[in-house]
Amino acid sequence: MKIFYNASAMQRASGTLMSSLAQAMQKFHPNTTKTLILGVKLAAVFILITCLQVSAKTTNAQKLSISMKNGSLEKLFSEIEKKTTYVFFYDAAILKGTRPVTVEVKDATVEDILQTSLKGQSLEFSIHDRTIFVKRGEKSATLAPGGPGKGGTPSVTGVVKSESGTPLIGASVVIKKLKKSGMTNENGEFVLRDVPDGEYEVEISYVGYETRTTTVVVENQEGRVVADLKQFHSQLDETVVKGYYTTTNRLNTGNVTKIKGEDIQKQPVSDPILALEGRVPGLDIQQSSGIPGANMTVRVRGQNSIANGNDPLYIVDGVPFSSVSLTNNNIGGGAVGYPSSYAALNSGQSQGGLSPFNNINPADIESIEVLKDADATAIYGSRGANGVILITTKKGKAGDTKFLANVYSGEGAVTRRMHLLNTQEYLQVRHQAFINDGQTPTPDDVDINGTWDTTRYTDWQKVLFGGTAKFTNAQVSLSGGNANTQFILGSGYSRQTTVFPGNYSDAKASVYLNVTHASINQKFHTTASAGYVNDNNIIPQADFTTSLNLAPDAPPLYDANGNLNWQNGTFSNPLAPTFRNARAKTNTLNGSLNLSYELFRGLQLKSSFGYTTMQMNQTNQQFAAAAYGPPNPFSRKNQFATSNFNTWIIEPQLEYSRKISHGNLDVLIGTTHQQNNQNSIAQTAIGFASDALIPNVTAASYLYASGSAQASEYHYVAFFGRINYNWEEKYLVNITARRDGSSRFGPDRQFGNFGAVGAGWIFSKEKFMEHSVPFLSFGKLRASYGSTGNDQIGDYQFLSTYSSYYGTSYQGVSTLYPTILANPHFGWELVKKLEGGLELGFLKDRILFTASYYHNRTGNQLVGQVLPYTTGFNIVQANLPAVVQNTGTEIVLNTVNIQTKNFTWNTSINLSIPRNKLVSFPGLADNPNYKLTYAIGKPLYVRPLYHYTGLDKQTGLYTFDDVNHDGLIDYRDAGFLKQVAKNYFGGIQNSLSFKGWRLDFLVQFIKQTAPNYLTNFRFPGINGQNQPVAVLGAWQKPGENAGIQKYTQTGGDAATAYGNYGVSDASISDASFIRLKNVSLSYSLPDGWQRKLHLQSTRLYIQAQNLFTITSYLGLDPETQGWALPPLRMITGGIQVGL
Amino acid sequence: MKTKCFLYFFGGYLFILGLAGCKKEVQVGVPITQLVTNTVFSNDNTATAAALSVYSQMITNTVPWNLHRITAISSDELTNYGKDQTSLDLYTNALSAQVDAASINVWTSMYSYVYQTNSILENLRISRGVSSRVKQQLNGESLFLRAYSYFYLVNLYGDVPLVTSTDYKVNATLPRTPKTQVYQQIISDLKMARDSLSTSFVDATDTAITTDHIRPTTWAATALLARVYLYSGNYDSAELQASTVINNTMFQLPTDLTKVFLMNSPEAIWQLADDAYSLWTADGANFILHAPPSSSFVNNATISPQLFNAFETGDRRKTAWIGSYTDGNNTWYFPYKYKDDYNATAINEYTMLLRLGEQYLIRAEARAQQGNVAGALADLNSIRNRAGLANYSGMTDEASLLFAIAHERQVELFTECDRWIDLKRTKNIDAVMGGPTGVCVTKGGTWTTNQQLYPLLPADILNNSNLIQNSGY
Repeated sequence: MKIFYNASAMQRASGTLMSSLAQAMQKFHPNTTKTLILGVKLAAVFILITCLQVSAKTTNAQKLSISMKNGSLEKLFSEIEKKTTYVFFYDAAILKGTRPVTVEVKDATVEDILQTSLKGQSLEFSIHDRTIFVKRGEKSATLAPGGPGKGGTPSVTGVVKSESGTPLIGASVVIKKLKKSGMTNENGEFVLRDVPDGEYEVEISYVGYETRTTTVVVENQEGRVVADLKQFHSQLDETVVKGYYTTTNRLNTGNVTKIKGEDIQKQPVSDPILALEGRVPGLDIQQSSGIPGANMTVRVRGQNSIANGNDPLYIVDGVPFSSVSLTNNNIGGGAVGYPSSYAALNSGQSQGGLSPFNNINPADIESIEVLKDADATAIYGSRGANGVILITTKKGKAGDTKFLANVYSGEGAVTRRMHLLNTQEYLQVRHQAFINDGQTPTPDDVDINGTWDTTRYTDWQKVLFGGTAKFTNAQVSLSGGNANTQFILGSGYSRQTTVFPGNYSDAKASVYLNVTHASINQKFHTTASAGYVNDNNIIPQADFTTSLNLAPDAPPLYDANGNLNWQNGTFSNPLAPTFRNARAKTNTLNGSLNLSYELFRGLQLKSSFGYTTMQMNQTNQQFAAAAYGPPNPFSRKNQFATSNFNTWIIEPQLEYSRKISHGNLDVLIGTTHQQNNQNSIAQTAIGFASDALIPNVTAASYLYASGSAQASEYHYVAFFGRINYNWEEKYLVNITARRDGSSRFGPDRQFGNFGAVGAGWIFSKEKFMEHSVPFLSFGKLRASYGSTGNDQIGDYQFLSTYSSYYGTSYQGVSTLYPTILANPHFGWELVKKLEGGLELGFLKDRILFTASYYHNRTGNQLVGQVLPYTTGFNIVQANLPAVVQNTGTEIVLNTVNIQTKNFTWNTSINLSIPRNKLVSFPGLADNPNYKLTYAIGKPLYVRPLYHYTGLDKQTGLYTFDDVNHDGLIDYRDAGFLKQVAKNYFGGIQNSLSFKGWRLDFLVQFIKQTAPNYLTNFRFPGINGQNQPVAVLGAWQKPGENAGIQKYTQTGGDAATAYGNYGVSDASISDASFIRLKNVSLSYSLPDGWQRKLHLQSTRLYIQAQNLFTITSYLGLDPETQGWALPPLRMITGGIQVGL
Repeated sequence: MKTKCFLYFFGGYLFILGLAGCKKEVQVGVPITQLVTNTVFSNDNTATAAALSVYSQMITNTVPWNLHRITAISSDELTNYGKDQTSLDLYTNALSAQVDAASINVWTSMYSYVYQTNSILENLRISRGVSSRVKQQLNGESLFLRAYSYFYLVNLYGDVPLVTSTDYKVNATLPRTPKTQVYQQIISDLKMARDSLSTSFVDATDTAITTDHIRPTTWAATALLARVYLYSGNYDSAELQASTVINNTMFQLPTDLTKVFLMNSPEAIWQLADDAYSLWTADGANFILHAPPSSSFVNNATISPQLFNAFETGDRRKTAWIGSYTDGNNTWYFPYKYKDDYNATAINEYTMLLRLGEQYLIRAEARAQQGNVAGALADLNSIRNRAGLANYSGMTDEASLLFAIAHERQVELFTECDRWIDLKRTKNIDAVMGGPTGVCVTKGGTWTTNQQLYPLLPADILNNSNLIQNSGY
């Protein structure tokens, strides 16, 4: 008897690690294989199961004798299991209604016994290795033992595959003329019996693929069809992951934007989140610095919370991923700074520290989905307020084993520098300042009093950050599998240096494995993935960019001996940070396992397990040469810290789907059990006898704890559910709900309920539309409303706790003081989200247009209730009925401009117009923490500013509006005059392909206001600080009408006026920009060549990031702003080879 | 069969998680870097650590020194050279609530201690783990500290909210309580403290006896009670309490004036040990001059001419407790009761909070008020003789005697936060500070009588609508 098992790629590659492992296991325990398989299946932990059935191609016919009268099939199967090493695999339901059998055989093969007993039972079996699969036989189709066409019945056989060669299981094959239909089996094969000779139209269809009609000629009772199905090209039919379930763009009732891995991998960036810039409407990403590994601020639809976290919830393969930087907040991360507290962030600071997402390898990502509205986020309950970002990693694809290597390398540089004064101009300003002040240079004025050589000129920007950063990235992967089991094993290495003088880099090594397996009967599915990333980041302890204002006549950097030149202590050498470096080593392990089993038709039991652990070791070292003067024990320092963060999560779920009437009903229920643990400790060692001893902490003469150690635990439990009903793909309803419990809240406030309703109406499916508007290929109206929460506050805040009183002791006892005023009654901040959307497709979906409007209101703000000090504290954590509103419009337009056989041109445009407003804040006027920061009716992005009223021609000083007419300019005169925010932003993506060539480019645009150079530069004329050329042409004598106030080199009125200028409305100006964010040009080798060379997927490419920027911003870079290193222009070239 | 196994497996698993998925699962253990309040009061050691913390905070907040300094600048004890607005406003008796109330950290510090002592009292009441002996001592100390805090609050601010619990909902809306009622609370606290506290100085075990005078004893409560009775006009009680302390041979007046402020001096009824890391007291570090008085917040005050000239000829206190710095042209005199500052190499001094010398003067005044001239003179002379002065030889009518005692207090207790309060309680403040030749004018200000009370924190008035600012602010 022939076993219909097709030798697949997996088997050909049976030398691979896994199948040999499987074989080894079998050899080791030949008699326990049965138990092993059972155990493995039941515990469902080992992915190796997937390989067992692959390993043995031939079945050694085991002979046995059985005597049974009118026994059930079940009994027969267990009898066979007892007497052989075979195990049966079947759904108990299919045995219902089967006839009892009588078997009386001696030395018969299992195949023979089964064939006889199952005859006429509408059951069929297949044997794979030592597993016997029994399933319902399809009457009219599917292969039966005996093979196609051999039994004398005329038949059509064939195989259905996708374009990429994956067999399509369950594809429907119909010969309309004969009213015959069939389905493909697990190998994509089908059989249609009793087909007389002749020519027939065969229609082959499969969900998500274009239906294909082909002609088959049946001759000599045999016909053969080999069909490749094309995947739908309409974006409407792309799968969209919404956390616990998936849908398609067409049927989605919520707002989700998907970015494909290939678009991420086209960008030479090491942090995948950076690759989202400009691509997702409603997603605002702001890089804090161009230093590799630096953190960024990410906001989905604006700032919801006044005082607490506004980060979205990140989920990697079902496992929550912390957005909190691991950089220790007691010692900081050097040039990338300290991870900001929530409060600092909300006052406009950028997010410092190293980015946790730098520990995810962009090459391992399959897609990133950004979930925005209530319909999409309410299933995440108390954590969904700020949007959800789902990162899905790659899965293997069935087909030949494929080895892919991808290497690129390139260089990066800063594109924008400020126009600063040259030495001559600088000296002029300084001299004029002395004239204005009526003073003469003192011995401290080394830049002009002759101490320094005033003929020198150095372009400090060029010296400090004008270098070239090198970027190398190499990725290899091995993938393959058959219809049931697929795997991908990847490994990568990337290294990026900096534009700074000195030897700094961020190097990342990673390994990634994913195995997907489905049982033959497709009832059991499992996916396991594990990723490990090791990142080694070495950066200076200070951003060299912050020294850009050094006097242009400052002395040389090195003395005659090649040591740092301090010019006898008069020069603060900007290269000192090269002797103070910040090293951070991070290890990240991310593992997840998903299991699902179809209990009954339509009912799936699923469970996912996940574990993430991140560990960072930091050491900030300072060598003696970092400071002027002879080395002393305190000029050498080593601050070091260890931080750990880990999460585990278990989410069992039940999913049910069935057709009811004209619609499909999907129901999902599940629970979440999650726990996070984190801890960190930092210490400082000082007093080393020599530089060489610095890494050796025990060589320090003093060692002490830096700040307090931190450790916390977070427990989270939830029940969630979803009901979706879809009537003829016309009317859609999606209801999601979640009940959450979080350990961050007091005993009575731990649980909360969240939910959302989403509805969609695909009006283009209505008959009247189909007739009246034929060019409209798709039209959908959707709306959603629901609530989500925000629990991003610190752990334990509800507890009444005592802490060590700053390490002091009394009578030798380390004393304890009450840390906070406990309030066990506060709960989460609640966001109510409302959204409406219109989606239109024209000309067979070649033009797709989406417009969404959202209206989100966050109430119950955890801003803390301000108390009189008579209570012992001045604040207690509490919910206030303050309301923050975020509204906005988002528009996406995707067009297929040209689509011919050789040439295609697609364009995708997205635009976001966000608005933010503080609707109410009871007691704001009396609230000492916020009264000077926010104003009711204004956005949260406002800043208190003086109103600049021009230059006083007589005094030569800037003047400001003295609002309260008290003759003073102080905080009482500040008004909320301008906001620091984005008015609108978006991106335009174009993809062109011509034969093997493909060009992609993304233009990012942002219309915004931001602090300009005035925020960083002090008054012109000040000792030793260079200025932008904008300060030239200042006022010199009374009556003069100049734009710049008089120079000064000392404190006093002029300095005060300039200081006020820096916090006036003049300091906030336009920072809009248009940036060619990404360009990718690739050339794929023609298929013919590749075949000759035994290659596949081979291409050469050039990729560039931040190619150029158009802006009128008065400062360094409109994105990073201030004196932070701008994002680098990175140009790389690479090659990808597949075997 | 397999299906069944799956069902059992998943079913059982769901069942277990379902059971666990209740309240219990979202309860976290206690934070390991902090202690939950219940845990703190579950044993002697941590409960003591919480009680001792107030003393640590008094040191780090420099509360005693700040009290010494600000009241001395407000009154006629010190000449201010500080240029910060609060120092200037204190000196010219022109405080402004907006500018100065927050930088005078007495209000916030004292109410923080009040909260902490209330918390300790409440938690000790329900605690089972703390031994009764320790409970008794810590109860006494908390009551004593609460009384001590309120004593300075009423004397600097007038009527103040009387907070006796930790419930912020109640405390956030409390109005001012009349001064007499606050005094009643202070007296009742001190009486209970006196009965509860140890009769000898204890160490961190709360039971073992130590030579360190840095924890309150029953004598500290008695001494403070004597002062409170005197200030509230209860003279016989004041005399009785002061006598109890004076009659205790534990305490003696050292004949050598330079030894009065040393650590564990026999005169010390209660001292504060400075942080283990510093070898000096805040008074020493911030008063002693090694350069001309600076414009900063510290080392910026010198002995005023009024105080300097108040010393009688031959008063040894003028040389023992007043230091000088000369830069060649000018000489500045500074409070020098504490000799150690940053140059110290070992701990020699503790900050004095209650001392025997004051008890003599309290009893002298109480006796004078009761017409016991001989008794009053005996006490007065005890102090005078130690300073190298002859017995008091002036008139002995009540007014003269009281005047002499007040003068003695001025030169004995200077920069110990007594002068400013003495002027107010004896109702002499307007006479001394005001008028065309008054102290305030000599300091460059104009006296208004409302300045005898400091302004309340404006934020607290904003956040508690029942709280009213002192008049004139």
